[in-house]
Amino acid sequence: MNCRDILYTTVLFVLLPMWIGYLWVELLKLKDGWSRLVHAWVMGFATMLAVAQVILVPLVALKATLTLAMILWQTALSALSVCSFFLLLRRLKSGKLFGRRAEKKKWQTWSIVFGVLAAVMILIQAYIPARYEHGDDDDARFIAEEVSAVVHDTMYIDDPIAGELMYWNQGEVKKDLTSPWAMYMAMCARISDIPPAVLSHTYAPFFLILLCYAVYLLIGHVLMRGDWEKTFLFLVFLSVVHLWGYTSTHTLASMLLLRIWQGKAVCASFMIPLFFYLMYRLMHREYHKVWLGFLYVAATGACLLSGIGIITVPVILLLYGIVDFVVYRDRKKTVTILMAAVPNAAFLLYYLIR
Amino acid sequence: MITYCYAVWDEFVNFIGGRSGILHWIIFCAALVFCAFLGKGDRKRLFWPSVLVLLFFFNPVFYATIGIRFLSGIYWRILWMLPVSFVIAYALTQFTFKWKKNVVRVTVVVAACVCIAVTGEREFSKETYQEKENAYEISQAAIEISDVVMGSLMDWKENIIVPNELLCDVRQYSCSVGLLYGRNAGGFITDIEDDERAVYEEMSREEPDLEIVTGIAKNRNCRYIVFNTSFHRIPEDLSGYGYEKLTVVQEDYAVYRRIPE
Repeated sequence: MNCRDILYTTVLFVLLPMWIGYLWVELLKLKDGWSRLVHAWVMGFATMLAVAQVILVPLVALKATLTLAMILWQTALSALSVCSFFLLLRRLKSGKLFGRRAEKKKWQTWSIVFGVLAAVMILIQAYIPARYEHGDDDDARFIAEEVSAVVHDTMYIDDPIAGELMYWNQGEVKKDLTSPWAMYMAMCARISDIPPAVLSHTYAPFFLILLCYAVYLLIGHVLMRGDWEKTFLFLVFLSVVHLWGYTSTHTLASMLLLRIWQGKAVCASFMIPLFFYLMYRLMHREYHKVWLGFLYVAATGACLLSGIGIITVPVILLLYGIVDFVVYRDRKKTVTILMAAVPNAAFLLYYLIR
Repeated sequence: MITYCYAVWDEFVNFIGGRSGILHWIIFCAALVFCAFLGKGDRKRLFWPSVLVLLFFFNPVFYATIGIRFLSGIYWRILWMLPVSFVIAYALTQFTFKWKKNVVRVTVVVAACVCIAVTGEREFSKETYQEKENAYEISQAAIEISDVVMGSLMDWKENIIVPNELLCDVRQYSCSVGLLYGRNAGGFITDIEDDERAVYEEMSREEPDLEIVTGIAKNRNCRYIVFNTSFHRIPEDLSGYGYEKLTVVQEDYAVYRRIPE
């Protein structure tokens, strides 16, 4: 680890997503400072995934270069950043840059104890995968694809085993056409000039695990109806379940703590829980319409991560949509929720007809 | 239909990890039932969606129509939609706050954590995480072998044959080194060809048939063959097979290069 690499990865995985996510925070008119920060990070990262998906899939199909994909992705992110900048300027003029400060209340002893305990446990979970080595054979495909993309400036046109050309639409690699997470990581590797294996194994796990826990914090906070003491205890229990969840290599805990750098693990640990959170936000009689809009963006981002993201998100939307309809009978809302699966259906169809 | 039911059950057992995961699932089921009694809000957010996911998963018709076609071998991933850890954590938190006295609360928290730990398996252990050999977090031998090959490239890439333990590592370091076969030998990524399978089978033996290995290597333009001398029992001199010893990396890995004709 060196300072330069830490700086680049902090920008790519934390600061840039926060900056872009600021757009959503403003649209949602979130008030609390901490809430604005965490929402900006989570929603910004999902937006970056969605933008990459829209750009990468056609370019992979056209056998374009990684450089072209990067230029378009950076241009789109720059445009979003400029929008955020103007919103920030507007907010500066109004003198409410950091949102409403949390109401002055005396933190109870147990809130502090559980909060510190949760923070320590989460940091341990983020640190160990970055500090120590865990080998996963699936990297033979994903990271080999990233290395080839960075070195040859191509996307999925040589096979990850022999490096022979014209292989991109065969075997398991065909799945990557509609879920190009490896090219997302390749772009990050190219921008930061960090070898893909180092980026994936050393730097990305630390930030991605913290990002996942940011989503879990939001879930806890909404489930516990804003009670911090309960929210922190929720995170403590969640950490314990994850730390002792190695009953198989397939569990959510194993995905989170053993191979978070792979797209399917990000899907299981970040994107699916994010959909839980979005549905918890929407399952009220009164809700902010912007959450519905973000549902579409997140659904597109889920497609980038893995084929399982393309399939599970429509199922989640359907199941929670059914429950919501049964409870509230809001036909318009249910249809809008179900329509968020359209990007997934489109990418699934594209995969099937290729 | 019975066959599909068994297949779905196998997927479930595969997901939870057999007996080692059953206790966490019992805790989850208990937590889910607890959530059902907590109130309408918890039922609609946690209980009913979880029940619907379980109905989806344990539905042999869904498995037969969608599972086999689109999720062959990975049907268990449907269970990622089940908020197992969230339900457990939520139920335990609510259960803890049912008690008024702090002493009782702390006791409940400690007991619950111990219960989860005892019934589960540690995610961080010597089995799952080791000390890093390098920043790439791949075998150091794979890096050094790749460096040797890249040091004298005759083309934009070289094809090589490596011992089985390095199959997944080499291409994570360099794309200038192509493998005759890699993870496809284990049935992943793509099909393996007959001659590649033949070499893989020989390299899996302690005493590989060098005639077969070198013969196919020459036909497939593999200039380099690497043997793990702590496993493979081969003669030092392979010049009779058209390969010369170039170097040894990490004490065990002997790199042979084809002798120019």
